[in-house]
Amino acid sequence: MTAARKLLPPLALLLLLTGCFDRLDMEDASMSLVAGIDVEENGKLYQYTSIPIFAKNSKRKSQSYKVQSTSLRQGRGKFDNYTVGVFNGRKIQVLVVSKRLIETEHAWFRFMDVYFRDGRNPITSHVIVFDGPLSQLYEYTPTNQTILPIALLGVVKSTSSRSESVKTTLQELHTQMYEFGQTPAVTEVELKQDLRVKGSALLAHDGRYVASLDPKESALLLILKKKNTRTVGFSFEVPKELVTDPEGSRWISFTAEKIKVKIRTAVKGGRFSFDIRVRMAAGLMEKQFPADIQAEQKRKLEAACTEYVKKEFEKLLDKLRENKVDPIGLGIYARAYHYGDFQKVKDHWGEAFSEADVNVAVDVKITDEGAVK
Amino acid sequence: MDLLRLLGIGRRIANTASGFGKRKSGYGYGSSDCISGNLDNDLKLMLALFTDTPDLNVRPLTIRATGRRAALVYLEGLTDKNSINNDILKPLLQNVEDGCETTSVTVGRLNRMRRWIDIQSAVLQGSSILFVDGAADAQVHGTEGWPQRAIEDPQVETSLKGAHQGFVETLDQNIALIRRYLPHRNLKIKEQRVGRRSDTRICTVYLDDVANMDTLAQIEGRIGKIDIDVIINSGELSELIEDDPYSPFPQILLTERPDTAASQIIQGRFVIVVDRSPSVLVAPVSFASFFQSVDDYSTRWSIATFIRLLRFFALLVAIFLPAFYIAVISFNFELIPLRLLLTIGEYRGIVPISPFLEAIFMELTLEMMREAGVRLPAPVGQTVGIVGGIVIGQAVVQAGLISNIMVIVVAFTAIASFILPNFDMVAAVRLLRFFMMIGAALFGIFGIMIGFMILIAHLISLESFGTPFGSPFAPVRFADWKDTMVRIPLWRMRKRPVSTKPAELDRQVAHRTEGEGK
Repeated sequence: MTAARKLLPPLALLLLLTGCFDRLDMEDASMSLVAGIDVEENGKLYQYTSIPIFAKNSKRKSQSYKVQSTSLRQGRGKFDNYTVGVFNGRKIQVLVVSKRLIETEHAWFRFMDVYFRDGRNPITSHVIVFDGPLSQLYEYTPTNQTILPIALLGVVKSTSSRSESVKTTLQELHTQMYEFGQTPAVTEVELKQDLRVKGSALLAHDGRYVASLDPKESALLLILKKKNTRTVGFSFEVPKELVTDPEGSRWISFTAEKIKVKIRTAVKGGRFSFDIRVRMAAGLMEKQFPADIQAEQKRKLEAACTEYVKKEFEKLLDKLRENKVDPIGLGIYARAYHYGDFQKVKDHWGEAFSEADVNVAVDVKITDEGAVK
Repeated sequence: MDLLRLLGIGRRIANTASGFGKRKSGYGYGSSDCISGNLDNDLKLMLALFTDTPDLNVRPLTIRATGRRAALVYLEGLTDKNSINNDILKPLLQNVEDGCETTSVTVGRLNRMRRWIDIQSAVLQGSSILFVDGAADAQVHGTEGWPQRAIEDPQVETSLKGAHQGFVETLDQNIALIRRYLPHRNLKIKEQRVGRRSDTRICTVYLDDVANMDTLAQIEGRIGKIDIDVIINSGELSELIEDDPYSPFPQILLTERPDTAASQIIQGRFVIVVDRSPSVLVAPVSFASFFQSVDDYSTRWSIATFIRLLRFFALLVAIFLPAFYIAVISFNFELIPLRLLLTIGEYRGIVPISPFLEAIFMELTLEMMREAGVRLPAPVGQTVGIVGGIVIGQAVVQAGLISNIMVIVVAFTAIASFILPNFDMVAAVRLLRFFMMIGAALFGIFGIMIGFMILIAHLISLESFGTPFGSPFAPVRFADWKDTMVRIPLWRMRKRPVSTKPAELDRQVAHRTEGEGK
């Protein structure tokens, strides 16, 4: 009697459990690992998927499918007709949208709704823009016998570990889409010889494609976003007066470490102005000309580096303002310090940013000259 | 006529000593149940008590010193022949100078008994009885000498640095082994007898200025309440006196190591020694006690701490790993990292049975192999390993019936359960594993969580002789954490564990300061 009474509360708890109706053994599932959306010339929406094949003796390790549908959920049903197991998107690693889709379909982000609404779907998958038709990507077989998702994740991870491209998950994209003071940026990938990260694609507030950044510009963007990895590499030609032989090579490479970024905001006559101060320690990695890096020479070299980095930042900021996008999120600073002024422009922050003053001050200190003279 | 009456008494004695139910207090004897003093009558009654007992030896003799008739009665086999021949018979038959027969006997323990029931039980315990014609009481000599085993290395609880003496089947020797570690007059022993037929001696050993007397009263009370015919092993006693007999967890620690027993006594616990059983009971204990081993205190404290943590990790692995495997494969495969998922998928893809069946099959095989290994004689036992390793481990995977990953999971759980130092706790863990697997198969990770919660709730509600089983984790007693998940240096353990509610808390005076040795 007492034993039964003791058992009752735990048994009552069992009633609250979900039960095994949602049980799905791994080998009975067809997991979509790379989901793709593309629009073709006829204006029709196409969906792609790549699922792994769990068979030891099969030569192919993954299988791709393409269906025509107007919504992702509708497409799932169509995929299910093809696949052996139960098709599901619970393990989607990469979400690929074609460049044509984001150029033509303004409100393309609405397709992503199902990922947020259905709790079973992951929101940590990487969002990638593919420059080209998606059929090209899905027909591609990686050279080293791996499958598409691993190849895609591999290139994204290795480039973002060098700060050469932004890395945006679906959740981060969601934040960026609904943030007034920032515009989204996602990784851009293309197929040229092999799979290659092209840089970052800049999107407008509504998700429309605006411009692309190459890896160098992406690194600068990440520095300003304070999202850069520990080191960022720079290579450039120093001015002629710094080298003994002006006709020879003038290339120098350094990695920036301990990068500190300070952003100050002000409002002058309705216009926003930003003061960005970037300080970094440079470690010399490569120097293709003979020069003694001592006292005077070192200061000159530092000045040259500073000048170069500053110019690069200015170029980037000009490009951003020209395209009326703010992937840095300077609007967030503006809102934090000048709420009233920001509220007036929040619905078209990109425009307001394009009219803002942005000053960059850079300070590069060479802290490491390398192991040889 | 006379004989019939005597036989009647004999039957009555025999009945009361073993009969159940009718008379609750079985030993109510009047003065008429004493020996008569007449040698012939007493011997007749003795033989009437022990009919069909060919090993009962009655040696009639005449004591040379006094010239009186006497008889020595003992059970062959339970007594020491040398002692009887040289120390009793020889002086009685040969000594002349003394007028008293008792002084000539050279046996250490000599009692005088009058009541038949005492005499009967003394004979059965291996004493030899000397009836002297005309004497009102019989002389009982301590001539016990039953077959016994030499003291050997403990078989189950092996240790690297601990003593190599294990308990044996004789209570007095076991107490002597403990006393060797604690030669102190405060080491007290409370003796009780349990078992109508076995009349087993049960001794509770403790330090009376350290241990908690309320706990002692509980232990004595519970042992005293037992009314059973036979207690063969200390494990049986443990089941009869533990707090919650329905729990899968042991609430009394069994050990076959005198050094462990002594170190438990010094911590304020009680050791219950059961005659004829080579392992002793330790109570009250907490959950953490089952993860301590005697080697922990003789290895360096940092290593001992590491091993302690390893054991608790192994506990989690041994209970939850197969369940977690089932839950993840059957319900939440998206939790597995991509590359691992692809690897597992490759192996799972060819297996025709569901993960739950796969796991149950393998775990049952493991349990069978383990049980086979325990019961089989050593030369045959090796075959179990070969059959298990090759047939189960390799062939089953090659045939595609079980995935490689499952074999790894099973091997990992087996290893994890091997490093837990207490056999009873391992048995509990083995049982719980199956419940967790069923929970996981039905409800996935939710099922494991519910199982975990029930487990924790059960653990903290258990008690061992009035002290909380979950101590020092629940109730939280930080002072006792020094010797649970970690083992701090010995010179820092200045107090005994609080959970045993010791009368004397201090263990040592600090002789080292913080900075010493740096």
